[in-house]
Amino acid sequence: MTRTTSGGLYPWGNRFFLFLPTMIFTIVAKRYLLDPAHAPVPAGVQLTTPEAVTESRIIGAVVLAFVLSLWACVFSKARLREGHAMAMLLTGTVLVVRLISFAVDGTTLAMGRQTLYVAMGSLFFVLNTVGYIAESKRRKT
Amino acid sequence: MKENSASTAGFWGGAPWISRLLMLPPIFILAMIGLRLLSNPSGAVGEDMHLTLDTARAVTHMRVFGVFPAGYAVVLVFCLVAKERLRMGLSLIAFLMLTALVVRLYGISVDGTLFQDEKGLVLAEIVFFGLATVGVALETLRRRRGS
Repeated sequence: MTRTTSGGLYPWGNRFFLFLPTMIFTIVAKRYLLDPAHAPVPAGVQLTTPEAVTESRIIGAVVLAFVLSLWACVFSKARLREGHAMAMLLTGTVLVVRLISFAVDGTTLAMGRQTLYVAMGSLFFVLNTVGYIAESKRRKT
Repeated sequence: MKENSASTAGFWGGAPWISRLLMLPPIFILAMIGLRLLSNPSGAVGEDMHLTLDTARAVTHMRVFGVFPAGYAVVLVFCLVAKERLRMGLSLIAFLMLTALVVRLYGISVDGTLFQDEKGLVLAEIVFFGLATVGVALETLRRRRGS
């Protein structure tokens, strides 16, 4: 009885791990697509021409394409492992690039929301790694 | 008759290589965009995107965005290496190109960007979308035939 219940709940728990970063990236994509002129401004990016606004929107389009691939994995049990692999690759690389940037650009943890971004990136990377391992084990059994 | 069926079998045997060939240019372009943003964000967005990065945080912000095209390229290479993932890879390319195209055309209509300035990119996105769609159709037919 317990086994059936946990078996039924398990994919939803694992799906939740994938849902969290997918949701965050969806918000990022939405901001760049709908308000490209203001989305990067808090970080200090200046958009001086109409072309820059369109290019900023295209950044949102690339993020959106990635995000929709993740959503396709969130809703399919068969693609859950691939989704975790993609999210792991994305959050892990974002984290590494951010840390390298701290060393070469002069950005510090104290600036803006960098502490939050690093903490969230680390958390998502761990959750997606756990999700990937759990999904791999489930497939073997 | 036998020769005809042998040449058809030969075509479908080589179809995965046609699909791979169709995937290579977008993978290369995405990898180049990603690598440029990752290695030199100020130069990349200044020359190509007309964005100005005023602070260290802005440079980091843009460097992080380089992960998306680079990550997309890695996922596509993952699809490229296995025959059974080719259709997924081509679908991802078609989807990305269509999204970029729709957003670019929307951007041209509402941001005041001149179509003349974006003509080359619009054309490239249409071509890559068309080629990826042909690839998806080819892979679907190949799967149906079981080759």
